[in-house]
Amino acid sequence: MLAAFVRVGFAAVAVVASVHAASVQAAEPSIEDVVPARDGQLLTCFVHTASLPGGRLRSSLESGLPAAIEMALDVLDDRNHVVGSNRVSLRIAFDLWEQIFHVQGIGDDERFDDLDGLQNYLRAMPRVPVTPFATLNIAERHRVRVGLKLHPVAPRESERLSDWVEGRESRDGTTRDSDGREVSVSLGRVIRFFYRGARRDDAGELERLSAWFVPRDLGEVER
Amino acid sequence: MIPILSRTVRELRVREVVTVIASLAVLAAPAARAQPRPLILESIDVVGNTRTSADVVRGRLPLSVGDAIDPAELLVAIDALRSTDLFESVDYLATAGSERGRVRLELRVEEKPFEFRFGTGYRDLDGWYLIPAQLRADNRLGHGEQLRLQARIGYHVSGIELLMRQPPRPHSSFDWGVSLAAESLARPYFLDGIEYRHEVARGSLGGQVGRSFAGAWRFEGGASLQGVEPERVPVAREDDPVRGIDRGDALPYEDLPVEIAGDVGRAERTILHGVLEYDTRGVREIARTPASGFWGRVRSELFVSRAADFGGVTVDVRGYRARVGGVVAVRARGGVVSPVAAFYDRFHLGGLYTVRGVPSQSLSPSEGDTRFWCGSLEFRAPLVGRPNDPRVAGSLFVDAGDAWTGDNATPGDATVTAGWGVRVRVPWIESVGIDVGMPITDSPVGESFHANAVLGWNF
Repeated sequence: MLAAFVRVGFAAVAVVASVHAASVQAAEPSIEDVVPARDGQLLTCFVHTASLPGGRLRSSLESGLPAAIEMALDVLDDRNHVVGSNRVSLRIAFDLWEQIFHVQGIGDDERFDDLDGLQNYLRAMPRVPVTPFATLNIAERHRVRVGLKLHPVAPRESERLSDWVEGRESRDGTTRDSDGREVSVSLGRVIRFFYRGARRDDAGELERLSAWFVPRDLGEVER
Repeated sequence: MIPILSRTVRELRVREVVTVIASLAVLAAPAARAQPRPLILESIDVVGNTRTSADVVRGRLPLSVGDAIDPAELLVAIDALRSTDLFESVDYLATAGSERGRVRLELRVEEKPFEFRFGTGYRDLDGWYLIPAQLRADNRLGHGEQLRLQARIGYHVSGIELLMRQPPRPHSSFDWGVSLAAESLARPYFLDGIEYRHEVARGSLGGQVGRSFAGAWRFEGGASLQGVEPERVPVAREDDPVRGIDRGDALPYEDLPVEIAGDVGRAERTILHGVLEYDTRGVREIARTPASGFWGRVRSELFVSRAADFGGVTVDVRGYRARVGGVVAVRARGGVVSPVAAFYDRFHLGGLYTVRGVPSQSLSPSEGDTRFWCGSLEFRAPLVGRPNDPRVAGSLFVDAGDAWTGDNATPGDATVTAGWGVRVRVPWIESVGIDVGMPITDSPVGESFHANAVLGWNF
């Protein structure tokens, strides 16, 4: 009786553990925290993430194709106006023959021997410069908005931070013949645009706001 | 001393050689990395297709199994598949293949549902119009065909059109289309300095077949049955207190020019057409304009009816070249139509799509002309935003043209205007803007400038 109870208990634990493992495996990438910091004359911020690079990027990387993460950092003032911004692109590649992950984009280029190393790096990325401190009203409260766009296959260098950052819409429904032009848009797409918001309509985009902060109260980052 | 010195020298030489070899190795390493081994596309799987066969999807992707791929090529190929507009969405997943260096590509497509759309557009001859409703049932058979029913409402055109078109299928160079349309067109013209609009009702059923060849060329042939019926009289578009004419007043039939009065009444005809096109415009754009290449078209039409048979030919050539941060765009057009053509089949010069510094169709007599030429030289440049797709773009242009009937051409009679334009990018509509032209030669209506609202660039 006791043995059967123990077996059932072990089985239950195993099921729970496997379900938990599956849920961890399937966890969607997210931005966990955005922490502003002062570094001399620069406003910088730490970006803490979870579950990056995520299933699609990992799959691409394992096939040998480079992936990219675009990062858009905006400083918002008390009226939610953008008063400073920066754009950074992380290019991640996996060398199939050397079995090494390469990361370029923030600070020094990094190399990792395994996926754990890459995941740890992405979990707490190096500080990213946001804007010169002089552009901020040091007595007013601000927030930093961080957006991440995940590219399973890295776009060309010149095309990074392109459509997404510029807010360009797709040329949906444009027909152009030699004697005229027509443009049309799907009513369903317009409704989705206003209902969900333009950015959230595109899978692979993450966004997070920092807590409010007053620039003069920010401590210098520890070196 | 000497042996010691010589040994030191030898050691130094050895060190130098080692240093040089090490330096070369270090220098060579990035070069070796700069030429990575190519990735080979091992398979292309299609997921989510319920009507469209996987072969059709693969055929629209400009990549094949066995191709060496790089990331940029893969993204361009995915974009090319998206731009076919066959699917509601196209996504992809790349996974490792059966061996190192091989990539499996999974295309995830979502079939298009029936779509209800709205929009806007223009045609050179008819100007702007709204599309208040368009029903699209594209790719219902899974071959990439397009089926559309749409209404148009504009100042010069309104009507309804049912269109079915089959773009070239993979591994085929043929395309075809059929259309059924009923519309009302307004032909503006000037009589004694007053602008009138003459409504022309038109219904047509037609079809065409096209074939692309040698990369840049395409030939199209087609036929249509058309019924045309102009209103008996035109109406004034402006007030003239001196002559007691109010906007909307009809011009008595007796006062119509004889060339127009003779065309009033229903006409039924068969129209045969042939088109030869040449297109080498590049994909790269600056200020939403091709940065290089040419586009040209010769169109000939033969009108067959009980009243009279006649023909016409038009030629349209455009060229683009990147220069000093922008694009120089050139367009030249010309046409000839038989003198027996009705006023609504003749050429009317002037306005936004021919000579911009004068009002629409103001350079031709009310009954139109049988011959014309016009040309535009334009410099377009991005002003704000990315060079290829700026938020704001500007242009400087010079337009010139002349139209006449029969052999009445007078050398030096051409109208020349110059001006500037601005385009602002608008979500979904590409861009809207304004072109302001100023006559360099005499204006037919005495204006010092003429402004036109524009959708996109004229050419």
